[in-house]
Amino acid sequence: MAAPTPQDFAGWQGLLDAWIDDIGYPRNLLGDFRLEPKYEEPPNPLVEFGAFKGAPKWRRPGQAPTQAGRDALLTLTAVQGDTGFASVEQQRHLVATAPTAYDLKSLVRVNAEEMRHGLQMAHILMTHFGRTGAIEAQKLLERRATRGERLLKAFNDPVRHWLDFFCYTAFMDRDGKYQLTMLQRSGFHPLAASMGPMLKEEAFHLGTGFTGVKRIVQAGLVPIPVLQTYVNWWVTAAYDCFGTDSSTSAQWAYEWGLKGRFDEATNPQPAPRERLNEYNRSLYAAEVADLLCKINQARAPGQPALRAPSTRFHRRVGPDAGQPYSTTGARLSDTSYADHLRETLPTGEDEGLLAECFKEAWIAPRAA
Amino acid sequence: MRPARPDGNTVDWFFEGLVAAVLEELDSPAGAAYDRTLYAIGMEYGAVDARRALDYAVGPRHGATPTDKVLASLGQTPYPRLARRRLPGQGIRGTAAILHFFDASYPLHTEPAERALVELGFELPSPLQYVDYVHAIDRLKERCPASAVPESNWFLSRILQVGLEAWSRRQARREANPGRRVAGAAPAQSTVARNPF
Repeated sequence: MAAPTPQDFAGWQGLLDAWIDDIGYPRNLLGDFRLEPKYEEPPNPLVEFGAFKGAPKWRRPGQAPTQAGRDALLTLTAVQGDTGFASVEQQRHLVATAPTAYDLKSLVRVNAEEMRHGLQMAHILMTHFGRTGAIEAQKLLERRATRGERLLKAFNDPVRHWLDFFCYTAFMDRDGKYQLTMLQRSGFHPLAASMGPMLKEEAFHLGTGFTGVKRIVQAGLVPIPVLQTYVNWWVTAAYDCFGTDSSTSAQWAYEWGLKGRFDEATNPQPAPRERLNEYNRSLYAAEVADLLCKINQARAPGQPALRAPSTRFHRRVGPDAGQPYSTTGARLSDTSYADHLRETLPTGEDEGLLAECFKEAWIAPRAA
Repeated sequence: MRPARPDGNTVDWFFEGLVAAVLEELDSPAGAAYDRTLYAIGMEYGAVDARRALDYAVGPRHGATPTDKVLASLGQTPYPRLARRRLPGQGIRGTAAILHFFDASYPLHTEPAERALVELGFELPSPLQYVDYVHAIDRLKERCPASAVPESNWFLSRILQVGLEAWSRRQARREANPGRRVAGAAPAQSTVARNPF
């Protein structure tokens, strides 16, 4: 029987406890981590862009000027919360196979903070959006990544092993950084005020991913072309998380002052309102390319370099979804595209090879 | 050259230099030594781990390592309550090291970091109690903007401690060369905020 909709945040926390047990997260590993909401003043007290620029940020959804804007806020908050719980469901099984105690501690911290990020969004839903918000907060704990029910496709993909985890935290969590940064400029004060603490925590997740991928390259056991297929998978999954091209939802969210560009604070140019998702994705792609350059410095001489795939490759969202583009963005015939996918995305053979690698020193110690 | 801030908030200057200071330390031999220690410490924290922590932070002539029984008792106390406790046979530095590698929310204690806290306007008692040092760093954690936190797999307590040490070094260089600008140091004419919070 479905649990009744929580009446208040304490009631929702009871559902969170049940969720932790249901997904089987070992409570002893969470230690004294405090699952609690954290707010801090956003960088700007005023609406920073869009039609209401210069007005005080809205403290309650009712202050937002349009009902459509309030509905968009509810959706933005729910989607953000969904990703936090989804990622824990994706990664939870890795506690049993950590390569080192240090990595286990890192995983647990990442998972605990992602739970807190989901909780933060639930706190906003429960506090500001009435019964509708309570239902959405409840749904955050009812959907399951393991059943393919999470709102964004990539958050239903299996995180098969620790190599996936490091790619996930390096590339998917980097999309998370972009989303949080864009929401930090939101005209809705509770959302903007949530993002500072979340971004500080996210920095550790990104550092864990970057260091992890670099340690894999340093160890030199996993062939770079195989590692490249996993980079291709997770980077393109993150591309999808920016949403569809020419998104009217993104345009309206900008117009209503709810979600800005990634570089909103520093970019004096007018926003490309009809291409917001593409614009933010292009910044992300450039950052990933830069990150891979840093990782490539850890290669042994003669090894190939890791490269960021084209934003048109292996897309599952938007106008390029299913289109036959190569990792460099060239259009291929359907036949050669099928071959190209086998070469550039993880295969069963790659998984078999990794399983053998995992029996050996596949990842270098930190600061080796 | 950075613009002078006659009434500049010293804490803001500190945060502005934090990313660069931490990234420099991350890639340095000192950063590697810290990482090696962190990496070697087990999940089931025991005497061997505490000894590694003391070797790193205090050196080979550290005091007696706490017993497994004492160390096991640490796991039952939520942060930051252990900051009030002095571990048997250890001073602040050793206690802080054992606590930090057991739970990275506790900052390592170093004299330069302590000095920097005072320069930033924290009023720390003399002799210093570790709990006051922890509270000061906790207040920096709260005040720290997200943009000042570099992407690293170091905890915020470590990031701030490293930043404080770098700040202290830069201030010392500035004092040694009063006529020269030192990148990242507070400007000579800046007013140190006595109550930054």
